[in-house]
Amino acid sequence: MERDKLSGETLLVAACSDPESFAAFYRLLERPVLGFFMKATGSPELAADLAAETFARALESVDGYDRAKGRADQWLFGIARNVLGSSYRAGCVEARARERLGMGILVVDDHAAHTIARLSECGEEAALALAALPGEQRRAIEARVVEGLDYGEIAGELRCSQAVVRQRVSRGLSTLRARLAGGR
Amino acid sequence: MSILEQLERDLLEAANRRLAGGVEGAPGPQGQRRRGRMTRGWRLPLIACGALLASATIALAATGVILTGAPVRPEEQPNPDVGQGAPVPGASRLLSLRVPDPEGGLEWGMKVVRTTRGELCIQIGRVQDGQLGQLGIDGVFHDDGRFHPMPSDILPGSIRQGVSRGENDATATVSCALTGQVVAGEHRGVDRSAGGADGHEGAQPRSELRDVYYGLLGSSAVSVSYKAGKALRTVAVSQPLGAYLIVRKAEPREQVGVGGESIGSEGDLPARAPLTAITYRLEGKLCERGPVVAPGGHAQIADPCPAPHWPVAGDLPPRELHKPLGVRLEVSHSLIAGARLSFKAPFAVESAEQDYTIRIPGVSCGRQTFAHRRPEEIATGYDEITLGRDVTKGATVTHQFSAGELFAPLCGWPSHPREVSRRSATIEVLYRSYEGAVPVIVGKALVREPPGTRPAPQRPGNRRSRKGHRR
Repeated sequence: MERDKLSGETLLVAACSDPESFAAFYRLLERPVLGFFMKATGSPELAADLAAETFARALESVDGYDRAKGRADQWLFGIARNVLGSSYRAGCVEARARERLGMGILVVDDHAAHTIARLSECGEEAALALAALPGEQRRAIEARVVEGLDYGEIAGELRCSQAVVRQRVSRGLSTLRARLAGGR
Repeated sequence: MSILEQLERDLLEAANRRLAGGVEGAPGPQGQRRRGRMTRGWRLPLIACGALLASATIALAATGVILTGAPVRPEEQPNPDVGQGAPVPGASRLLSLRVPDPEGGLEWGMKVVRTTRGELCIQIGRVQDGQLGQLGIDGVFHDDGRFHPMPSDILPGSIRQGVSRGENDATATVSCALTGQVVAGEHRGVDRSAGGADGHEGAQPRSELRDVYYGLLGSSAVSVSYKAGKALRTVAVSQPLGAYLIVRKAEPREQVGVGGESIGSEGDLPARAPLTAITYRLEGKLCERGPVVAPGGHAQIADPCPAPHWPVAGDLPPRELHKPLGVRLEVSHSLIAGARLSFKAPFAVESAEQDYTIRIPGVSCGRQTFAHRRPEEIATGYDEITLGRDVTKGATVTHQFSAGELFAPLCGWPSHPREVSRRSATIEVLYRSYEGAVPVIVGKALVREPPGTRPAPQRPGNRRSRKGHRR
């Protein structure tokens, strides 16, 4: 999917008039946000609920995103922290943005809960570093490392040769290692 | 693939609902419209009768009780075969785009009008009850304080021909481009009435003038980003024409009564100030074009679009038809009064897309380095005159030159022109299609000043503009 190669900033700008861009923005930052909430609450279900409210609030205020004031992930995590804070104060997960948008109740199945639980193991920092990779490298690593697909399947999905997929995974992992090492 | 696919679907559906339900009011500036109207409308200083009436009109407009006055009438009937042509009946449309005025009151809107010569004209004005029009304030319509609707089938260009009456007076709020071209432009110092200030020559405070930025970027445009103070705003363009409109107060010391426009092909137009970026969807991919940067410069664009498809026709040599041009000098008592050019049109002109251009060499006042050369040798490009009207194939086309244009052209700044004498000039006639085609040189004619004659003295202000028609 071409949108998955774009930066969060570009997707947010486009999301003002293109709903698919917001969906791509969600896919881009779903894991970092879920990882953040998983770490904060220790509960996959709560993390999913909080992430849903965070993205709903982001959708409501996407027109107000100011690219000059910061990156898209910083903007989203600002919302995430607000959602977490207000939920703590209220004693329950906020759902007002989802209600205003007419969104239904989120059902988290066992597989999703297990995956979310594992996100806290790999850490928010790694998830953010992954989200910051160029779209082609990010998708290749997700497919190979996270989803466990083989190179032939990935090459078919990305419409390129297996050699190119290997190169993207290799370069992406090198970049991730360098960034995570530099961050410590 | 996402972990919570249901959440992704729910968000996508919510985004779709939001967009579908918020076409008129959801994005960007629309959300701030009500606040701006409520607060700023009450803070207008009531310093004089004129200001009082204007303020009252703005405030009444905000509450929806402004009275309607006589409709706007064109100053002259447009000729369907000349210039921009006449409006095609039933082919004008008020776009859904609405933006607030900085002082509140009636919103600004944009109307497009198709013409008989294949142009698409943009008219910008205030909107009430689904009609575009002008407010009777600031000298317009004798300050009657009413809203004056603009009939749907009048040509905007025939209302104001882009004439600025004075430094502080209103400029036109219209522009036309060929159908299929995309445009981005601005009118600076527009009267907040959206009309020309009829008979009103006095200085307007800058705060009562507006800078209007507009564009029709085509169906591939998604959104535009621009700076509003220190903030960067992004608003979706209105489809299917890719229209945007930004209205601001004129700055205290900015030059007003001026405007400009960028014209290009769809998907290729770069951002023009105050736009910082245009987001396009090209071949299914989202990308951005920033402003044109100087060589060696770098635009801060995250996902740049592919390089524009620049036309290559300009590099090709023009084809020459070597058709005869007739030039008859008008001489009386050794004074050359003028010259009449005539030629048979080898091609028809059926719309504003095609045109004949008549050109003669331009002149320079000369610089120190050219001191050893005669002024007539220092030609600087061409002065061009375009016909700007329909022509039947085979028809005889005529054009009248003044003697000064041929043998005593002007050089230097328009405010301090100097006359340069020359004994001869070559007239060329070209045919251009404006579609990237190579221009065709219909013919050339060398005109010499006959011995013992000289150009008749020109009265000040009696010279025609060298530019002739636009373009």
